[in-house]
Amino acid sequence: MKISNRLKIISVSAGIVLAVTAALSFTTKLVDNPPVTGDLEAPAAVKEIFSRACYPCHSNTANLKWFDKLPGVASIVRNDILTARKHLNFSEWDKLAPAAREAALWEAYNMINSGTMPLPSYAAVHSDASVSAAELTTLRNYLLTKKKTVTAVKQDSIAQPAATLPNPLPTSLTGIQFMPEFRQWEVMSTTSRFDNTTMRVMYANPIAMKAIREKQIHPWPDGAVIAKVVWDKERGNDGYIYPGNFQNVQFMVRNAERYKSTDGWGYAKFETKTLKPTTTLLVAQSCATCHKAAAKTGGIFDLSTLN
Amino acid sequence: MRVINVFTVAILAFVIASCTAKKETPAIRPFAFNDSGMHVITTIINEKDNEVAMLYGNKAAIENNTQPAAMLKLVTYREQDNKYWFGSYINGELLRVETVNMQPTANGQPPAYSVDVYNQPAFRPADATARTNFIQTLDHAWYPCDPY
Repeated sequence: MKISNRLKIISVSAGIVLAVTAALSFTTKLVDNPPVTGDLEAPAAVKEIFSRACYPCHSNTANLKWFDKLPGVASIVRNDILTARKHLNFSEWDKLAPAAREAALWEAYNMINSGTMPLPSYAAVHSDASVSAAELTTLRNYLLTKKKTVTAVKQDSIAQPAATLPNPLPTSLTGIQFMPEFRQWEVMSTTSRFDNTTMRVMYANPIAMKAIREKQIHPWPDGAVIAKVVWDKERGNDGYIYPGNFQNVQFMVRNAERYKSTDGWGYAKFETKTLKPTTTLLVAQSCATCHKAAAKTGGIFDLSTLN
Repeated sequence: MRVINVFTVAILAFVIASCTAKKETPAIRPFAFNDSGMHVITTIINEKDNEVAMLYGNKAAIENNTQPAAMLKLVTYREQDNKYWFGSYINGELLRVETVNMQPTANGQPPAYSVDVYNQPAFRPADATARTNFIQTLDHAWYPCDPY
């Protein structure tokens, strides 16, 4: 009698669970696949890697596995894919300007190479998503065909007009005000980009510099600030590359609580000689997403290492 | 059961990946050059030799690099791959520091040129006058807050 009652309870419970699951399955909204308006154009070997590792989320060709459609999981998967498409969508490649397409490919490589993408949680259940060392080499070799060379020519010593700082100093929508005092800070590093034609000098404020020297960057202390000054490269008659047209100054400000949604860093960019603040909250999110590739140095890309 | 296994593996993988990333301490290159409060005037990239140099100057040099108190230092590094961004070179090993000092010295009249060489045993110093002229005639990079 007791066993019979237990069986009844188990049967009824199982029935309820099954009914709820079935009901949720029918009501759960799966991600749809909008039309492909223009696909990535790349050599077959390169495209195959992106198709396999990136397209499941970063394209309009999502091919969900059975477990991606389970109630509870489906909404997470849907949200992940919609977020991924907003950041980069290989099926709407035609909507990107040529420079943005190339920038997206360099970023995609760096996200994969750092292990940030495909998301470890995704790769764990989609074994075909992982990218091998040989495939990374294939991607690198492809990108090197897109390496930029400097064609802008440096003019002979033309005195540039002195700077006049705007008054009041501009403030980004992320709440960061331009900090002219970065000129007093120590230089952290200098970089020469070949995925575009810019050169940069990075400065670290005393809190950031102390953290670097003491290797206390996991996490960086609140109050650490990194400034980055960006110029277009120009080639001189002597063959050397010099800073030409000033592009922008960027700041990363550490405040773990205030900038929680962007991994503890606040972002701001001040563009052209007028120092126009251009960083919206949405742009800051995009900055933070890309900076995940530098997780090993707490979100900072431009630290020189003992290679 | 299979579903549980799938999620267990996913969660474990995520946790392991997170821990691994946090535990790895990057070998950050120590700062070999002490700027002694001088400011960067410009940056020069020598693609042929894979070098990048930063020209520092004291306050007097930034105003006028031929006045008596002016001091310039051209600090040259080997360029190396930026470990965290493929598509970028970053300053690596310090190679040499060339100094142009306009302070009158006991050994001679300014400008006094000297070079300190690091990690570059095969380096042969170039003509001091030519190097002094090169360093003193480098254009300033445009900064939005200079003079500050």
